[in-house]
Amino acid sequence: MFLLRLALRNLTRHKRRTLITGLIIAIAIFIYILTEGLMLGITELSFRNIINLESGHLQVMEQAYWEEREKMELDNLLSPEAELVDEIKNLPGFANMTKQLKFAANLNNGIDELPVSGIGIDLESFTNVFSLEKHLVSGKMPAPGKFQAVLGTKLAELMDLAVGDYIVLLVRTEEETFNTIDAEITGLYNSPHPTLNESTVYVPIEIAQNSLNVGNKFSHYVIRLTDRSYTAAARSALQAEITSNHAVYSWRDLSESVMTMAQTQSVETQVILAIILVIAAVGIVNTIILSALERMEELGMMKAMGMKKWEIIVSFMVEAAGIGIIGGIIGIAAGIIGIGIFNLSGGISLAAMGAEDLNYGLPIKGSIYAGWSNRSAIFVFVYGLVVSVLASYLPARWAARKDPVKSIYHR
Amino acid sequence: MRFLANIALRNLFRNKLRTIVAIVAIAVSVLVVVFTRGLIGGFIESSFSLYVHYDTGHIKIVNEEYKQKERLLSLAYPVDGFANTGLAEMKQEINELENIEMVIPRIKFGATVSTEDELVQMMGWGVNPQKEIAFTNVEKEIVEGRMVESAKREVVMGTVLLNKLQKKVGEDVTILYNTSFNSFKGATFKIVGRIESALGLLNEQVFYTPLDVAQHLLYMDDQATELLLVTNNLEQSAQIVPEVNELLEQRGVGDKYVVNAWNEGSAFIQMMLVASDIYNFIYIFLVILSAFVVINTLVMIVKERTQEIGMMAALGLKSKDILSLFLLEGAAMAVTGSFLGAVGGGLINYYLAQIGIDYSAAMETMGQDILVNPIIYPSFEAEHMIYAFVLGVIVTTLTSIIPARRAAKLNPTEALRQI
Amino acid sequence: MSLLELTGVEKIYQQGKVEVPALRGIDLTITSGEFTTIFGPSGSGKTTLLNMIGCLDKPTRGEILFAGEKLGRKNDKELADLRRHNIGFIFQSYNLIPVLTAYENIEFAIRLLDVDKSTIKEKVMHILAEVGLGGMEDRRPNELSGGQKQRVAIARALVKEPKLVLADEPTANIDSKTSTEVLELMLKMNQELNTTFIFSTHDPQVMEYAQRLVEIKDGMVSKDERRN
Repeated sequence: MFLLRLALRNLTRHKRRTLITGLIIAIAIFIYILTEGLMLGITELSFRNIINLESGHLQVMEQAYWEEREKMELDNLLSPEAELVDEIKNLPGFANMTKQLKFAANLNNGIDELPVSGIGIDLESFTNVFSLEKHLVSGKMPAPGKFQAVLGTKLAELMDLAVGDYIVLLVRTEEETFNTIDAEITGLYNSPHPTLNESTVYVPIEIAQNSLNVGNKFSHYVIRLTDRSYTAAARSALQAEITSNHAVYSWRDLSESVMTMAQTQSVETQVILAIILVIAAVGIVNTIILSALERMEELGMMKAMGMKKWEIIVSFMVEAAGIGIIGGIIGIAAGIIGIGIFNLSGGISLAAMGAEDLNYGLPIKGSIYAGWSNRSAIFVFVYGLVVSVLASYLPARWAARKDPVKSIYHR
Repeated sequence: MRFLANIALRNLFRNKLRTIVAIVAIAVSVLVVVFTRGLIGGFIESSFSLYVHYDTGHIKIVNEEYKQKERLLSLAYPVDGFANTGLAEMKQEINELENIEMVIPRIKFGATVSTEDELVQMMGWGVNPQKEIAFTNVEKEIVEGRMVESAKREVVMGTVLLNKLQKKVGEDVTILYNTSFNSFKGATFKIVGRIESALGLLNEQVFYTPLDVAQHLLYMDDQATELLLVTNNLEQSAQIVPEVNELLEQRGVGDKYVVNAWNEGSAFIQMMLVASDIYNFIYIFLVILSAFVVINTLVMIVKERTQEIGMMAALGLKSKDILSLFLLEGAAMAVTGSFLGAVGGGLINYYLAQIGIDYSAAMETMGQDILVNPIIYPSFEAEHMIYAFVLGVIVTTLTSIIPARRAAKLNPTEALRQI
Repeated sequence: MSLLELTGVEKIYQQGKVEVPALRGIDLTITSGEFTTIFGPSGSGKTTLLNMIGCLDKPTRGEILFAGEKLGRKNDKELADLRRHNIGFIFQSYNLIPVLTAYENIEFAIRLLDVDKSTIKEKVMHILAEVGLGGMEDRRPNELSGGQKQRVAIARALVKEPKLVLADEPTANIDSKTSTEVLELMLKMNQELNTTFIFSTHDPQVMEYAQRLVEIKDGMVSKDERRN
């Protein structure tokens, strides 16, 4: 198209101006890609930790239990169901499953007492589903049916506990009477999930069931799939089979807090993006006006030759689009390089940010690396382009409306 | 100079639209700076004041051992005066120090209420009611009933906590706790007030009870778990820490207690302080972006006036004069834009400071040991406006040196020949 | 057949609070194929008159008929269409688009019409040869001399074979030898294509080429003579 060619040539007239204006857009895009990348890194790490240490891929439990799961009450528990287990094992992508019994407890070391969450685990299958064993820093996992426990190093430090020490867990049974679990610590772990380190105690499920007097009941099944991508399919397949009050929840449901945080953060990132793009828009307006002022005589001539207003407007808008594209390409390239440098230099360590001791409720520890998403790169590129083109409309119309006679004899 | 300024000013009006766009660009970025600074300032201020009121005081004295394991709320390591001579004497001596206005003792202890279907974990705060009311805004947060009164077995607690306990103001509640001798006991209190606070800690975890009652029940007569000092100047409180330490040294308890100013103790406050420094850099960056627009405009102006510059040079204007001519033009835009932006940003902050911005959803996940108010009220302060204004003027004027130098460097004969 | 009929055309410019009359009642008829010079000192209203004829500006009073159509009733869009198809312009300062080559500058004018691509190329190359710029089609304006630039401008005005070509002081910026060439070129085009030419000038050398000489003084026609 002729107008296109004209607009592109016009872009090269003031290479520096085009570049500077493009740069504002590029910077907006660069910052967006970097912050989004960081968020992506955080959420991805969180998801991995949640799946590997907390939730598995899917969980089956009573719907009523789900609603009040934070209280870890002992009503609405599940009983073993061979049929359900068979169905689960036939799921697409099924890898392993285990069952857990969660309960509220007060951990007592003889001097102090601290509220913790207790989890009764089925040691035969636990390690197939969760990677906790890998994070053991001393000792070993408890033996099935023994009064043994593992807990996080952080909790152990706080309570002055070591492997071989005995702990007392004060619990309330299903009948609302008090009971205690006396257990020997067989191992300490330091996992990348701060909450697990600070306030979780694992005991064999048989011990928990006995002490809580719940028979062979437990709170939920945890299912591990061969790959995360099977989650949705496996979930709907299982949901279709399941009757009564059972319900299937995915790791996504269990990462609600991470998701909310990520969403709010992404709103914030977009606000920052919008702010910089407003400045970019002013830059575009400025560029178009400056160009129009310079080209007054040309514009007058074009109009004299019968070029219509909309054609002039289009030619300026194409020019703005060109700036947007240049900015977009530079911004995305800089984003890729930025993420590369960031990750090669070891990411950002939470400790360096002074946040090691702070628990923001996010299941992450150690270093964060930035991620890359094609979708958000395309989004931000198009966003920048649209802003450029829209911003150019008004000044382009202003230029197109100029009286040709005055334009020709501009000086 | 005056003459040059005059020309520069007139030049600004040669192409009004162009000038306006450049001014708008500066105004936008300055406005954004004022707004973000107000927002972050508001957030930090409110968060700091929560920390000061409900955690750190201006200066906090705790037992060395206690500090290691604050989360346990252990009663085994209290603040009990100089060499076990009791808290009262220690309080009085500290209070006599210069710059110390108030000494506030608190006992924080773990407690449980057993309801029909669950054990509710809580944190009890034994407090001196008058001092709490004087120092914190707890009285405003009490939406029903009143604050506890000394020597009475009363509690005040948050709405969420009351709902969990299924209790109402006016009813009795039996609270279980471990005494300092590690015996498990229970006592019945009358609920005299309900707190409705944006702060999760007050709403869901804490109940207030009179200090003397707590001391008696926990066998901690004349003891507290922490001592908060209120100085006459929050900003300067770190400088008063040595005085307090000196007193403790003299009385032979320098090693027993740890003294921290509000901005020394908490990791979160440290992080916020670092963050606000980082933001100050981001602001500069933002203003540079809009200064780009001004550069573009000035470059064009220089080009347009090439002949004119040649003519001026021919008339005997030194290149320094030409430089200042264009710098003045840039500075005039900078001042106008920055002024408009600062005023606009101030207005936005003024408005938002009344209604606040709700961040509840984002902050839901934060641990309760981080004290933040989920509704952020941007602070409307002249400081933000002045900062942004000065930043806008300086950055923009400095960047306009680039095109101005180009003009100054033009060779007059060439400039005249060029059309 | 008359191509243009001006009756009682007046133009008053508003300069601040002062009304400046540029034209004070012009009656003029231009016949198809004429080669007319509008002559007069600067400030006499030549350019204003040319702009009226070129549908770039509307008269304050009076009426202009172009090929029998009243211009006063047309809106901007219709006027743009009229210019696009029927009128070519040549300006004193060429007004070529600096970022386009000679070829593209000419192409620009004809692109605005619905002409298919192969025809465009053929027409542009033809007109380039006609104005004596064969082989220079890829040069940009800054690589051309003043005379060459004006030839491009003439080619641009003629490529769409308009009924009327308006030239405002076409020789003002070029030396006398070149301007002779340019004028001869215009005359040639006038004869070959039977295009109506109207140009303004105050250069006596240019006047010699005119078949009809219209003199403007103080916004009025003071002399109108035909010669051969």
